[in-house]
Amino acid sequence: MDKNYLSGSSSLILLSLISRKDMYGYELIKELEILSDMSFQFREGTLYPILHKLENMRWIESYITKAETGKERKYYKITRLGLQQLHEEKKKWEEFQDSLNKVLGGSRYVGQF
Amino acid sequence: MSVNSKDDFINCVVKQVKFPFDRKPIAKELEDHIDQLESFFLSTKCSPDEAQRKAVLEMGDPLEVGKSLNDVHKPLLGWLWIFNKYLCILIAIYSSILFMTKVYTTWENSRERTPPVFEGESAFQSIGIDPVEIQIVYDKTIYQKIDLHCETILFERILLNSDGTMILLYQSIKEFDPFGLDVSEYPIQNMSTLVHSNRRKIRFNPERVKALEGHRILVTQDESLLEGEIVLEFSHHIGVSRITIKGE
Repeated sequence: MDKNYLSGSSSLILLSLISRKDMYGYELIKELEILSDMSFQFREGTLYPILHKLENMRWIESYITKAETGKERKYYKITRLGLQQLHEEKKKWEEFQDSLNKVLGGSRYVGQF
Repeated sequence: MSVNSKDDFINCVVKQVKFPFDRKPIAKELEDHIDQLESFFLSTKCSPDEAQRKAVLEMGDPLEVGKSLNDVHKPLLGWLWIFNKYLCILIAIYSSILFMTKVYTTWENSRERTPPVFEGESAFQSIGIDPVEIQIVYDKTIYQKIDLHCETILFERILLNSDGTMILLYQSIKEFDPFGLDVSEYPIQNMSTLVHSNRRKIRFNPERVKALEGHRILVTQDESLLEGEIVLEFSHHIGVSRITIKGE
């Protein structure tokens, strides 16, 4: 899928994934690939600037735990603010989808006289 | 820009991040990601070198990733955050010290201190009497307590100089009150009167209330104090307490 489609809705996608369970970067990418049937693929390093931006916005927060390898791993979890943002973005997305469908379907509003 | 090794990729990314304190956590997070990609490629029968090369390639352009990370990790905000963090720590330490000092002081004040062991001369010197004029004619330990609300006044010692200057040593023992809710203090100098056996009433000098080695002193001067009996009348909310501080 074209990267441009993804970049506009990256926060919606990531917030939605993190809202299901706490996740780390690599896990997020793999989950995204599985859920989108490999349609959503991007250069994996570019995930981190987006995640860190979401963290700066206080929509997600991170914590460190030990992974099975014994190494430290950074997990992300959604905040209450993040859940509100996710709700708003979902609503906006649905409105956009609705408008797009109307345009593509050619239906038109006809006012009453 | 393309790099082949994990270290080169990470170094190239973190070099773009201007805020130094964020470089290490970013490097760790990227390293963990590359390690997992590498394990995945190793499981697909790639050689270790090939697995690392492919893992790094999956990560994308390190310059692009580094610059985007730098946009998020603003140095000014980072420094402000660090400054605030240390400021908070300092304030917390400072307030704990203040609180502990307060608790210690109130604990100290809630205990009875040992009677003063200093020489009577030093008490007179502390109120500004010339050493050559000091000739103590009366020095007696009293040890008389008056229990008041939240406070006990313990009168300890009476000292009389030949010029009629009288020093009364006392200590105030407060209830243990670490939060400092009760800040009231009895103005003993105003509430006390000395009654001489000849019925004359003598008041303490309110300006000459001093602290001396953890004890307090009340001062007055009247030559008639040298002779006869003296009773201290202390008026408080319960009533009037009378203590004979000097016999005939």
